[in-house]
Amino acid sequence: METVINIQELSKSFGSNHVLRHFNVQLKQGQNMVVLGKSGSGKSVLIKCIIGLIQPDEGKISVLGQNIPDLDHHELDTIRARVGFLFQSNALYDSMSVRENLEFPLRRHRATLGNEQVNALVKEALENVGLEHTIDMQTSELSGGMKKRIALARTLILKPEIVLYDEPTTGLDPITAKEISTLMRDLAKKYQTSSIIISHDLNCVKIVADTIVMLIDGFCYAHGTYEELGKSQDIKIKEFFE
Amino acid sequence: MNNMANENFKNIRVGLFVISGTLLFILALYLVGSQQNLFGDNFTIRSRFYNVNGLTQGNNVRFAGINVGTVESVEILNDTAVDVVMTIEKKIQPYIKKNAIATVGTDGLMGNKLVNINSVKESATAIEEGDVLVSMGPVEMDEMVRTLNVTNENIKVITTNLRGITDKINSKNSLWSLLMDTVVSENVKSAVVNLKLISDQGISVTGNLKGLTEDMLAGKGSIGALITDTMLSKKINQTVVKLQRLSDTAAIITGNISQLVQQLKQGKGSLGILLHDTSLVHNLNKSILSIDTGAVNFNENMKALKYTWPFKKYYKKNPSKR
Amino acid sequence: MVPKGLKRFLAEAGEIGRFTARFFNEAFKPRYEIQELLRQCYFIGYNSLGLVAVTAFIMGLVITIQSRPTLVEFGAEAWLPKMVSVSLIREIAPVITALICAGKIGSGIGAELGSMKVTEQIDAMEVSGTNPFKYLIATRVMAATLMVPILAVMADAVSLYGGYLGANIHGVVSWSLFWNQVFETLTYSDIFPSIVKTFFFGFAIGIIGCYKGYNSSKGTEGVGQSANSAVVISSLLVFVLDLLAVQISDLMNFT
Repeated sequence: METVINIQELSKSFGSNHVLRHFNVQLKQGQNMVVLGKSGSGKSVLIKCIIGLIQPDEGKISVLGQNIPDLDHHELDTIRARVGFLFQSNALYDSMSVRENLEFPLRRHRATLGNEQVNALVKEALENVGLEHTIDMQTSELSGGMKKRIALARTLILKPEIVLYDEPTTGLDPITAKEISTLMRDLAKKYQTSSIIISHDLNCVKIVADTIVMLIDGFCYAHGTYEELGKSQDIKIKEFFE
Repeated sequence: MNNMANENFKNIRVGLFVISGTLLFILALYLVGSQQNLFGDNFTIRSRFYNVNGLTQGNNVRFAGINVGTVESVEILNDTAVDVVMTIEKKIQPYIKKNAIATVGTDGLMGNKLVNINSVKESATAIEEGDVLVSMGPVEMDEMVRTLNVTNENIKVITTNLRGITDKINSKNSLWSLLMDTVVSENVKSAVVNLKLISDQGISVTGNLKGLTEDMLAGKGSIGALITDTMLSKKINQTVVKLQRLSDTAAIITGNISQLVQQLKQGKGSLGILLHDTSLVHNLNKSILSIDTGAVNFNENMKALKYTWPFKKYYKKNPSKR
Repeated sequence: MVPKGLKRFLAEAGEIGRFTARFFNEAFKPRYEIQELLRQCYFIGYNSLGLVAVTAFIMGLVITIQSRPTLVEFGAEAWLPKMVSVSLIREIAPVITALICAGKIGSGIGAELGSMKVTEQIDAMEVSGTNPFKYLIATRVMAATLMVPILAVMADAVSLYGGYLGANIHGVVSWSLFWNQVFETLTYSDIFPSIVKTFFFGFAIGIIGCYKGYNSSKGTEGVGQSANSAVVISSLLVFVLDLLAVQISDLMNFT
């Protein structure tokens, strides 16, 4: 299997706070990798480095064969069109309707698309998350679960090869969290995406994870499948699986 | 495509907003410019002043009181001349003649300076581009105010006096009767003339009497005869007594007159009393008349005296004294 | 030792300077976000019109009523339109417009960008192939720079109309006499500096609002703070710029 993301010796610190220390990880194509870690352990920093929102202090981040820190704005945009990112707070644009939110990445990354193609893609994305009726609603009218689904639809509308999820189930009730997790798994299968999922929700992890990376104290503490890690006797790992 | 329509609608409103704002701005610029004659046909004329009193670029130019242009520039030519270039509306050109006079004036008491162009009576041809108008020195506001101040002071005094006079006139109407009475004034006039005569004659009579007494004292011989002649001495006595009475009356009358004149001079109440007192006017009339007759009688007495004996001789001796 | 407050002030001033430099660096290069610029023009310009018009109308009316007694004392009541028009056009209408905009637009931009920052919408734009600086900052700053002068022109017109009504409360000034007197008094040196300075007012309002919002700290409290300080700083800046503008136009003999 091809490696789509290859992170080597990644370090990032904010002042005296060393968030990532010589972090190494590989993501294979079609793999759903969960990064487990405590709050403030630098999980979000990791995926923001991958998408180029945060410049790492040192290390290589190879995404689809290109080293992210070396890219200029234009090249970065090309890579970003192939990588989806689901934000923790959804990041739906308040000033726009659901349709405009979904159209936004299309019109930005695929400026050549005609109106009809855009409409078809928007419709498809909404069907994927089962919220066709919300198309002309404002984002402020949506519930938390609906917002997450729309955000998911927006993340997937460009049919990315890699999707980065930043705590997709945080702030949702268990039932909705489970629905979202299932949806993520199904859509990953449908579009054959590789994904990195930041989470500390074990229910979600159980559903989506092919492989798990434990991020503790800024480096990769352990990795394996859910079953493997669940059987581990390490105290720090056991903390998560109780 | 509800969204697109909405977006278009918003864009149209933004467009309207921007266009109307810009149009307003342009309209304001045009209106300000047209006030300063920046647009439309203009021509320039100039005038030279000794002193422009603070006139500056942009001040108005008025012809016959109408704004017809603006001052384009004010430049010093030399130590006694300032060149003022004025932009004037073309349509006014036929009305301004070559001999019109330019002055620097003020808009109202405290307003902006401006150039007034006024026509004169003599006819001339219409002004042309670049002509130089004859100028007149500016009316100095300060100077005018100073002069006005003095005039005002004077007027103040005069009006106060006038007010007193009119008040008196209003309250008493006898002044009018006095002023209208020509007889009185005539009489006063003649009385004064006669009084003068009397005093003149009085002087000569006293002179004569003095000479007579001296002669009497010198001519001792004739004194005896004179004293013995009782008849004559009685007559002389009578004459002297008469003379005495006459001068007494004259003295009283002159006393009255002088009092009267004094009162007139003092004015105030006495004038009023005098003027409204009709009986006094009558008395005045009478006394003047009696002065008149007194004076006539005195004259006659004097003539008679000439022909009486002791004086006949004296008058013959000194005819020049008459 | 430099006092801590001064240090912070200087650091902030430097940051704003760099932010402004970045604006000039990025705003005039493609790609141009015309559609978003129009949208912002709609919000900043068209949507502020009502508020600005009401304020300007009231200011015109009030200034006229308040100026009257003094002029009557000098017996110069006929000068009311002249005096009022000069003070309205030169100072009151532009500054009031700018202050209203600092309040409405400054806080709006500060809060909007602040909450966008906090909810990662700005990051989301960036990963969606959009330069958020161009898309959010440049458009807002440009819209504010272009719309505030137009609002100021409209405020001029509306406040003069207020002045006309004010002059007619106790006296009688006919419609045409009023406007005749107004335009007889006004010169280009009254209008141009007052309009030119509103461009700077608009720019300052836009830049400060964007800076405060874009650099908002995390959390809802940060959003409120950035909206608040955007209003305070941009209002203050309006007065400082006004002072500068008056000094400069004075130096250039636009009196």
